[in-house]
Amino acid sequence: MVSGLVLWAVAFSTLYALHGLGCSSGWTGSGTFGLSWAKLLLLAVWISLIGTHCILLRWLVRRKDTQMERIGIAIGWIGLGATVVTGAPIVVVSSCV
Amino acid sequence: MKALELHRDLTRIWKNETGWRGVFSSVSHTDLGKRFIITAAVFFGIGGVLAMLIRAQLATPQSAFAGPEVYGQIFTMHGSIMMFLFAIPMLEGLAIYLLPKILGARDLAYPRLTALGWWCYLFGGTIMILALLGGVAPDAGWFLYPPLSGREFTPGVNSDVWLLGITFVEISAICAAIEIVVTILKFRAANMSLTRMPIMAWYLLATAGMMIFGFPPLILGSILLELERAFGWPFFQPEFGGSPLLWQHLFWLFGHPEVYIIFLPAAGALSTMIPVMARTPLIGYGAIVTAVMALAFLSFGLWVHHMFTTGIPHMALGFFSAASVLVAIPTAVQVFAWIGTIWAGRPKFTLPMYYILGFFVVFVLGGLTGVMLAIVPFDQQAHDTAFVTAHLHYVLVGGFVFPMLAAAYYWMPHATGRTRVMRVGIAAFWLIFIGFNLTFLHMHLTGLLGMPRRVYTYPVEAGWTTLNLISSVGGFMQAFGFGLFAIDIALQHRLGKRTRRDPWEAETLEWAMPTPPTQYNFASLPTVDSREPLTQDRNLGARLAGGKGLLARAVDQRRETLAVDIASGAPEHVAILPGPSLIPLHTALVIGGFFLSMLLSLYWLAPVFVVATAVMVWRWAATTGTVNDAGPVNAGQGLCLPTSFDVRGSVGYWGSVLAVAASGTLFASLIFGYFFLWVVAPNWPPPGEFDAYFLEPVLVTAGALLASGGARAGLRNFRRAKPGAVLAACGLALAIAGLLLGAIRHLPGPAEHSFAAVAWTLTCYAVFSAAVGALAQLFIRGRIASGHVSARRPHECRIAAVWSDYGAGVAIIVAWLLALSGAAL
Repeated sequence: MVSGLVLWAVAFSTLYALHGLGCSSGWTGSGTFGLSWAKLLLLAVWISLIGTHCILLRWLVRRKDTQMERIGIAIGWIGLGATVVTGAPIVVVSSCV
Repeated sequence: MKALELHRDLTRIWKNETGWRGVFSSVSHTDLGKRFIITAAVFFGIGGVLAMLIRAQLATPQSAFAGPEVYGQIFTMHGSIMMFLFAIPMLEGLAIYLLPKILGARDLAYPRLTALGWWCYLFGGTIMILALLGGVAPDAGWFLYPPLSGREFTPGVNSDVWLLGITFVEISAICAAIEIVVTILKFRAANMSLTRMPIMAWYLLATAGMMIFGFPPLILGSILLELERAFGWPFFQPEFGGSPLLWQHLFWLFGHPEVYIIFLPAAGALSTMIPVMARTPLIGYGAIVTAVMALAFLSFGLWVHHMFTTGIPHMALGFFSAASVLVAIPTAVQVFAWIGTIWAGRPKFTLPMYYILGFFVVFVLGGLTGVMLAIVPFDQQAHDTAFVTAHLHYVLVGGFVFPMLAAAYYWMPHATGRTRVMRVGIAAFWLIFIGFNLTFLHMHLTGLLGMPRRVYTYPVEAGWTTLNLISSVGGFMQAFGFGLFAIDIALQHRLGKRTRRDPWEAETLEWAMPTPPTQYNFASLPTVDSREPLTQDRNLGARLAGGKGLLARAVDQRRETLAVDIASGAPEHVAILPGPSLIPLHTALVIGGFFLSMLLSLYWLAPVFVVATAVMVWRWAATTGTVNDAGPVNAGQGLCLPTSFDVRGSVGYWGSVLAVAASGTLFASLIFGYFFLWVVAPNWPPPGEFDAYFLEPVLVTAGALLASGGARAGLRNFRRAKPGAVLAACGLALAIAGLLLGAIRHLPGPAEHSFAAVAWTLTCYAVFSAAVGALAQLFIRGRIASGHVSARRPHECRIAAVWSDYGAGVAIIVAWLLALSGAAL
């Protein structure tokens, strides 16, 4: 029922931990496309987490007969939206300033 | 059985013991719920008096009313009392009183745990108030930031009072949270599936779940700060590799979810009252359940918004700012659902409705300033100013106090069986509402003009005099309002006219019982087929009183209630509950002895109380169960169900799983602290040479696997349970020996560097967890010998396995983490 939000919690913790690790380990050197290694890693992980949310949603929408299942689907969407919004600063803010 | 005879027999079975012994040994959820509520109200009164002292001090510039030392104690105790001794216990009290009644049960899942929770709360709160009277109360702010709260700047016991007193009270909160979750999942009316639960149950389920995962970080922070203060283990001292920011993380990991822990039960009360007051069903039940779950999770992603000015990189600030804004959406979903319900119905303008409308005004304003503070640049301007004080009061008073005042008037006829006597309540409402806004509305402006929080005085030239004076006048107006409210409630209790059952024409099950309620709630238990059972059957209360429901029986002095399948609500077994007992009081006293010996620096005495607590817990567990195979019992209406002694998924098992989840959260927080210091704190790596070591972790792993294997053997085949339990205990003893050996041989002294301090703390935690697991297995061995555990009644083996498996798992993780850290340092 709450799998969407559990996945968001995992995504949020992972991104925050990776950000802290990247900045403290000095992964600020330029990687590809003019982006730092820290930002590239965060982008890759964020996109994969969004992909995982989409897979979870596909699995959740298979069954929507009961109210509990419908609530589960809604929470799946909320989890996806929350991962997109809370991870969005990766795109627009510099990593370690 | 005739109805009158049934009532007489149930009264005999469920009544308290007589005299003073009855006061001390009561485990009734009705009594204990009221005790929580009344005790919280008394602490609210004390916190309110402190608020008036704050306002007296700040009414004029350069006031000579209180000096900085006393003022520090006043504002620290005001915040601490209101958060820890009023708001949380009040919501616990409401849940404890109401839950079995709205779910159609006779009591909570663990009546003795409820009593333990109340005694811990009372003793912990009393320690804090005595410290206030003695002039040694905490004075470093309600969030007790180090280094101010450390030994260097607070050499007295002030901070220790907070750390030990609050942790004592938190035990009560964890007890209540486990109680609430298991009760909601297992003790419901027959056929009450999850989606047929009253909306209040969803709110309380989310709240209790948040408490289980939200409180352990604070308890851990308190333990670490107390270890630093008492023994010099430098977790928060940068010169020894520590960081004061670790405290802020641990505190706010609890502190922000705390806001929603306080708000959600109040919102549950609103979702219950509004449809009744509007005389129409609640709009958007499914949307509200979804929003509540979203809040329960998202609120754990906001904690850093209290730390926007601590120099954290912008991207991390962005994560938390986005989450802080996002959380407004599920809150707004509920607000719109309530407005829609009022709009769709025919609202009655009764006294609870005054407070509900007051809630809308105050809470929405607080929510809007919350969104402002979620925006980093604004927060950096307003941080630590009176603007934040105004915001938090709008949120907490709007989101908790106003709904609770409405709830008080709504459920008073239930608790007392009486109606209000005069219109004093209306006057009280206007004094509170106008007084509150007079105090806090323009405090936003005071903050924007630059007045900081927690200052004991200010100069005339600052230009804050008029605003502060108005705030003080408003504050005293509120105080009169709360005084009138208390008088009104007392009058209703003493002089109110007897009221009929269900005076509000509500739809939930608590109104299908006599008011005031009997100790057993329902003479027979309901079967429901909708969310509003009273709407479908107005005569339900009379039918249940006449013994026309389930478990209309009084057998062998046993306190019985129905346990159901978690999802469907299908009847599963008959739970047998314990009766009056002094064990909770005695357990709370020995726990209190531990905290007092720590507070008085009698550290040699503390281990004695730890052992005494273990003895009490053993005694507690030993007084449950039976030595007879009872077999299924007749639950009525053709249902034949096993008792809780004979089933695998008893409430004891679920309680243990949740307790382990809480303990696991504390462990995870400690691991977070370890890596946080390693990555962020200055002066790392620690001085000296460290190497990886392997002998001890191999020893620990062997012991832990032995323990797990022993426990498993007993679960698979009962004939192996007795030797399996001994094997498991021995395995855990081996793991403990390995942990201690590794620490003594390879770790530096805990006071030398934060690495060593955390490593020793991890070791102590692992030793403690393994010791608990070993004791659980030894207990099982004794229970098999005494006949309480048998092949037909093996569920205690499952419970013990939960504890021993957890101890074994923690031992392995800690042993290898510390052994391999040596190579990385």
